[in-house]
Amino acid sequence: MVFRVRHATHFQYQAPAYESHNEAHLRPCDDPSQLVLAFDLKVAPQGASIREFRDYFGNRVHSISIYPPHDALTIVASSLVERLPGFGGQPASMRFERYLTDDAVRTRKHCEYLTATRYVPFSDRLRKFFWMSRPRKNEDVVEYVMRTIGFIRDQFGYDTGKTDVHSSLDEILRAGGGVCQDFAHLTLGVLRLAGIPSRYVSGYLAPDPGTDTPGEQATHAWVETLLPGAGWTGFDPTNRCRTDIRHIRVAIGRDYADATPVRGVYRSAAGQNTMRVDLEVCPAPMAPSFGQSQQ
Amino acid sequence: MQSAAMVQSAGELGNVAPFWALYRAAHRTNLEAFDEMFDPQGRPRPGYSRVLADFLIAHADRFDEIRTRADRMFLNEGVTFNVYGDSAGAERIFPFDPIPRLIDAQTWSQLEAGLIQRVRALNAFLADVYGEGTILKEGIVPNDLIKTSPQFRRAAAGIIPPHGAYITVAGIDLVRAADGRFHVLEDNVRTPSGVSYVIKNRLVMTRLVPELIRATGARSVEHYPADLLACLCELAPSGKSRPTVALLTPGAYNSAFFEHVFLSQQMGVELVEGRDLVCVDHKLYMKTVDGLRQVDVLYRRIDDDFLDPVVFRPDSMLGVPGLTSVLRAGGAAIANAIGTGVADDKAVYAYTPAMIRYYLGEEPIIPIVETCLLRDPDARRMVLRELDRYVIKPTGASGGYGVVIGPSASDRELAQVRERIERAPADYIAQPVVQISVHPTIAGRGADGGAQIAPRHIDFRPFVLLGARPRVLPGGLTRVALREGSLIVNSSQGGGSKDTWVLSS
Repeated sequence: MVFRVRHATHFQYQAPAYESHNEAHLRPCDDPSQLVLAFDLKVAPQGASIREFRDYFGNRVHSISIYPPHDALTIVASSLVERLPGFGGQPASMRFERYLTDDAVRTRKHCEYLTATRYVPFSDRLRKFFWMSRPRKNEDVVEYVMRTIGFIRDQFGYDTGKTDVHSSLDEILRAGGGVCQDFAHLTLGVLRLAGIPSRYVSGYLAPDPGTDTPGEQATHAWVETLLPGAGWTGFDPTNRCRTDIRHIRVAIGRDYADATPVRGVYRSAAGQNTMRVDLEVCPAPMAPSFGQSQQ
Repeated sequence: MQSAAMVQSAGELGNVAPFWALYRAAHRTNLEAFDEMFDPQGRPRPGYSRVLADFLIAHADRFDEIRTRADRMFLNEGVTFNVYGDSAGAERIFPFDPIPRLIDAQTWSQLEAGLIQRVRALNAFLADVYGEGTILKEGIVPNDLIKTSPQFRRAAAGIIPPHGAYITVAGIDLVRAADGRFHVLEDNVRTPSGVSYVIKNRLVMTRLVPELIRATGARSVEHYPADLLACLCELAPSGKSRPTVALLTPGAYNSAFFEHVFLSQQMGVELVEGRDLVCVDHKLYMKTVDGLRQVDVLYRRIDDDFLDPVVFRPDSMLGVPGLTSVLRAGGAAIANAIGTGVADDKAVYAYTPAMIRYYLGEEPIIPIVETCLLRDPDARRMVLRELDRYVIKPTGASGGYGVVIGPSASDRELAQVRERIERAPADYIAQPVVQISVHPTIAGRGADGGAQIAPRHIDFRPFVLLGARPRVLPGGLTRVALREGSLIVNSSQGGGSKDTWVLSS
């Protein structure tokens, strides 16, 4: 299935910005489950200096610098992504007590995805929350992950007003609600405490043609856990499901800080700015570059 | 090798004996520590006879005057430093002890080879952990130790410095144990400081005792800034015949600001702060009265954390926004590279002998001090049982901050450190107490009102420049713990310094 994505980020500055330096995680990943057929990045004002690089996690990042004063900055990423079904094995059924026999090896190898990070601190609040839904010895690992996601979503409703992009786990736990980024961080915290290596994924969720009404779309975030027999496996806590063909991966990392869509600093006489994100993800009938000649 | 004193005339030795007897009487503690000037029989070690006869004995009644003259020279030269946690920005002169510390040529050639070996291995380690990571995959250095280190900078992955030079400047702290062997105490491969004192100490000593320096054959240290500049120029993007170099300082409140001013002047390069620099089109520029001028190589004396708010601490105003992406694009180079701190972490230190074997296929020339990582449960149990026998160091801190020396710690201090270890064991290492060497030092006034010379503990920080041709400055910073019995020599903890004379033959 092929999706067309247009992801526009628009900053408007009260006083002109200058010496603006940004890093953007906007190019979808090339991996066995998806293929980027086309990608284009447009930046206004013109004359921005743009370099692409591969970061520590393998993400393709764009460094975007604008030196002269400007009133607005617009970054438009357009991608054509083919999402392939059927990749990634089925996780083996394994009980927790057996899973934990490899704990020491796993900790050594995947420590980065088992420790506390900036957005996923192991606070007392998180530990208490983990304890309420801790794994049982004879529980299947995949079932435990699904149960955790369900438990989180039972406790915390989707609410855009309660948190912001810089909210920590404790704020979510206190606020009682949040958005996809918050559910992802909370899931990471719980699964890491349980000893399951887990990482953050930033991306898009294509609308379901059957049920979704076309309307405002937002960037999405979910988690991947390392499961026996299957490798990194996606779970979407916001939608209480395994990831499927509608999940388009853009960047991975330990948490939001590693996979932020657009992050940067600039100088300005006044600090105020407004940001707007316009996202369109829709199924593309075919890959145009291949399709047209066949018509 | 026989002591040089053996060939001396009985008459000269006759003068030494009473001096030694008096000095020996001041040796109230640490009788087992290695004395740098005297062997256990009271004979001067190689090179020291002349210092003893022509300086210590000949000028015994003038030390007060000599020290006052030296202090005045340091003040006039503006050689000062700031102590963190001290009253607002107070500048102090670094206490100076005019009795020089000598290293004979044979000992030095061993040290030199050992230091180059060590820094080459550390550099190879950095290239590896920010690249393929084979030493981690093979389990020679634990993967989790590196990947969870706060000094492991993921932003450094993919930035390959010119010639693979992660480390350009290293300061390696050495101590001499009771057996007289030098041991590495810690590595400093981030922004090591102290070399300006090496040069200034020599300048002062040259004015105080010019003939003695010449007669003893101390090797010159004044060429260091020129050598450093040559190494920095090597890092310039290829094809630049006359690259522009600048020194980036966090500013006048930094404890080493004097050194930043001194080195920039000596090298003839601009001294800049973050606000003087700007990144344009993935190149680095400094703002001058004539407009922007491109900078090819930045000798930075700012920690990674503050270097670039885009990538590191977003609240930092000290650094240069966009610098990391300039480095990645090859638009400029910096020394030392981003992320070198993961190699001088106190826990990683325990694996440095393994690194030398792994990357160079050589046996370490200079040994390290036996080190227990308290993240290891067995080691932790052993250390906590006899906590008062160990030195406990936090892995993250430098400059002697947070170090607890078991044998001299109070019960309360020991209880506190025990609690800290139990809470975050990975943040601490333990080492047995090294009986570090002592050196005759002016220690106050004797009963007769004259200067009293007594043994005080010293360490040694030589400086290594890696560059295309690795070189060690023939000298270094000898730091001295001025309080009797104290083992902490850091300037931030009230230590002083001595001039260090590496003998040419």
